[in-house]
Amino acid sequence: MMRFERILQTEPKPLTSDEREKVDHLLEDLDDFLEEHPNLAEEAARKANGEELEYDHPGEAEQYLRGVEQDIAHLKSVRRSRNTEAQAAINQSVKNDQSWLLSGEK
Amino acid sequence: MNTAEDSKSIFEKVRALSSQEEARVYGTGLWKLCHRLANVGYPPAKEFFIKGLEDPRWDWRRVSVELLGSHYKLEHQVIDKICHLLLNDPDSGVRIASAYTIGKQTPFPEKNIIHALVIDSSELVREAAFSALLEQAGVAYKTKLRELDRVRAKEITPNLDQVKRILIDENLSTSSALLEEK
Repeated sequence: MMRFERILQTEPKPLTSDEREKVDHLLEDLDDFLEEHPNLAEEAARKANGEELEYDHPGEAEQYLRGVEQDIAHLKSVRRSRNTEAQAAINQSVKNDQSWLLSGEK
Repeated sequence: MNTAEDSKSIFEKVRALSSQEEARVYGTGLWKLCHRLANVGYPPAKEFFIKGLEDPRWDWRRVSVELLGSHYKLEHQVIDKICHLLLNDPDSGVRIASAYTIGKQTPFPEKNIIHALVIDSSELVREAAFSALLEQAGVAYKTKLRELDRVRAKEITPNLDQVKRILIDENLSTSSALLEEK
């Protein structure tokens, strides 16, 4: 078999353990994050007014969001080479957090 | 709010779990426990997270950088370790958290953040570095968020020229001069 034909023969794979964790992160941790930061909007307003906060939860939220976006980008990039079950898990996790990223609502 | 006894019990649980090679931080409820410890500034947890910076598992490194940056005052040698992660960690989530943490804990302009802004292969890491530099330079939070929205709208690219432009726009001449010296 020629080298490039072998690419076509590659079997779709299940999620790796790192990908599984990213999927679970997107599905499970967002509620925990919001629960742990019940006053996020108020704290962000205080920060916007120049107040020094004891803990920078708005900054923490900003980097958390970037981490989520990075994980979504990674999962989307591997989706095509994953099997049906893995693709369904990726779709569900991405949908879960993407709607929150776009609208602030799940 | 946790009591000291709660924190001790949570800490023991987190520490025991971390010693299991297969223990995962995300999607398991463990992130929440780690955050609870950081949120009350539990001192033993600080040492635990500092050790976590060298963990071979990306998730333990990521949560350690995240929580150290937003909840603890860090010493120079810890910041040096995080600078190393910013420039070298294979996980872009770790590098994103590192940019934020260094920005919080060092004076403007931090050379490793500038380096990440210029050369990191990940768009989101470069954006995190851009955000960290603006915050370090004393740009108002509202202004920073507005500029980040412009990045997302593809109106501007997060780079050093844009940082300089924003500092001039905001009349932050001292920060602007410091950046020119770099």
